[in-house]
Amino acid sequence: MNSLPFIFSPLSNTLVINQGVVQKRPRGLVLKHKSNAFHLSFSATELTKPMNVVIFNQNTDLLLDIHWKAFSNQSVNLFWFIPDGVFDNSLSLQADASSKGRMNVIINDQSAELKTLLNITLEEASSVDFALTLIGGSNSFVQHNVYLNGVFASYKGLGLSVNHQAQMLEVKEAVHHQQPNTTSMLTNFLIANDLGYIRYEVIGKINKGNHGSNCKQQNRGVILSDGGSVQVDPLLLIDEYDVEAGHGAAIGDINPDELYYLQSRGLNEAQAKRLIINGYIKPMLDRFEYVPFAQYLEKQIDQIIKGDDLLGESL
Amino acid sequence: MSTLEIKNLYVSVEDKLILDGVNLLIRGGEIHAIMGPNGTGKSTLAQIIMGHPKYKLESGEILLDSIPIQEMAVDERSRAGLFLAMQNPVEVPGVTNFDFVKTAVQARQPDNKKLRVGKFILAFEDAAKELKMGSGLSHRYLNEGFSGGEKKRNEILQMKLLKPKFAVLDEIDSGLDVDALRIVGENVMGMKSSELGMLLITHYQRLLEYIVPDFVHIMIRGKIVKTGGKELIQKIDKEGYDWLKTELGIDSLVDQPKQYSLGTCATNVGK
Ligand SMILES: Nc1ncnc2c1ncn2[C@@H]1O[C@H](COP(=O)(O)OP(=O)(O)OP(=O)(O)O)[C@@H](O)[C@H]1O
Ligand SMILES: [Mg+2]
Repeated sequence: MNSLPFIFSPLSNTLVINQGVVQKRPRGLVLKHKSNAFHLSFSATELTKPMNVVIFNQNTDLLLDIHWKAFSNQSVNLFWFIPDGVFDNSLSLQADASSKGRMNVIINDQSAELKTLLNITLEEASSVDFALTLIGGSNSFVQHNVYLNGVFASYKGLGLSVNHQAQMLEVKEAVHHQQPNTTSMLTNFLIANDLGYIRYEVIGKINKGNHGSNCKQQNRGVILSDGGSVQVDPLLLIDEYDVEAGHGAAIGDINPDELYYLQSRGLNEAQAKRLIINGYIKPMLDRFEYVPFAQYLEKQIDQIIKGDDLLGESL
Repeated sequence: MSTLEIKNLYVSVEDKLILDGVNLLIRGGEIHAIMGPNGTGKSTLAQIIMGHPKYKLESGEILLDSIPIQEMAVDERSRAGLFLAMQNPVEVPGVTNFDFVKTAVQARQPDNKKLRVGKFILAFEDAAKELKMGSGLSHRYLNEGFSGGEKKRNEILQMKLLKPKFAVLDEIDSGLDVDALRIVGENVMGMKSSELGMLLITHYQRLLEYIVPDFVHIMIRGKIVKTGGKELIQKIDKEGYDWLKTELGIDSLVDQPKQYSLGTCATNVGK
């Protein structure tokens, strides 16, 4: 990919990193940059407009640090296009005390092999609303750690993974409740087509003494082909009585009763499946105030769920 | 005038014969009611007409305007003008009621015609208002968390917007309070026209006070054993089905359905 697949408005608040070099940098952004490591920080007084970060034509491993300082309130969208190659990337988000914000990350993976280390740290009374979309990737591994390091820290995580062909994705997501009265809520939607393989290990850990904590996860997966596979291993490691924790998972083919109901109203099989899968994708698309990107994302996902020939021509 | 004809229908579910030779003719403009004890095959008849993949048509025919439809896919039947308000409407999380109905209406537009969304929104809102459905319901997920009564109204909402030629309403009255029953009854009657044939499945007289049937059929153990006018309804409401069993020489209404050997007359498999 030589140019971006969609256009950012020149007025948008966008940082572009092309071939590891800063190509466009919004005024007022605090950015430190040393070889392949980039560090962005946001404080309570600066930048409150949503900030876009675009990384493409990457030619080396890359490290990106994002720092929300105390009392800041920031929204960040990260569009990370991974070209063909082998990469070992790292992304970290540090949310200081009483900061709050929202972050959307899309990793559009066309590499042969990708490792992504994702660390999110929340201090006292901070709140992070985080969404991660993983699209494609021949062989992708994500280690996703969330540390709730301060009392009353609250984390909400939404995940969407879509793959097809013979792509493989493995995600280890772990939330560590290290202080009392911390909250986490994880929701993951996983869609595999063709011979796509997706495995999630989702761990919620509450150590002793961290009373009043609440740790929930919900995982839904749908397999669109005979050869596809989605596996979720939820794990709750709780060493404290006064907590709330729970997990739910529903993985499988598209529910035949749901299909029948939609078809009985005149939708053909492809339309019916399409509508049901849209239900999985919509929560993610709805997070993007930036319409061209939501459209781009929808098209990418469409390509994948169309599959080799599964849903027929009519999609 | 449209016709829906059921000829000598034998249907099994999971190797158990449920419908044991059903015959029925419904013409456009007519309202038929089917009553009968639990488990006699009323819903089975409804589902086989729509083409539910779990029900197996062993023999017989279903003709819409004299054309056999048993080989048609479920969605083709719908687009050909059949509608089934289900006894247990399915919940579809993630799909909003509005998007669903819009897609369904779109699916029956001729190829060269696009749905006019503005017009559709107004039609949707009007129909919801007529059924006294809360406005929030359109943006909620399809039937998910709907109360029993809301689900039933939602079936009728779809019927109003899809405008079928033949509608099978399977226990549309169950779970409705007195007011909701009146609203649903009035809405269904409001659709009555020579263009619409209806088959109502119900256990109670109440619904039939609003929707007055031209014919009443009694189904017992997979067969229509008696057909008459609305006088039958009152009799059943008062006396149940026992008098019929005496009249017809059926010893027990609850005994086991007989085992059915498959593969002997199985030819048409509705799919
Ligand atoms: N999907 C199915 N799988 C197994 N058995 C079924 C299925 N559907 C129906 N049956 C059986 O077929 C018989 C007839 O069921 P059906 O639902 O048609 O009865 P009904 O007349 O509609 O009863 P009700 O008045 O209780 O709704 C019952 O014995 C039922 O258990
Ligand atoms: Mg029934």
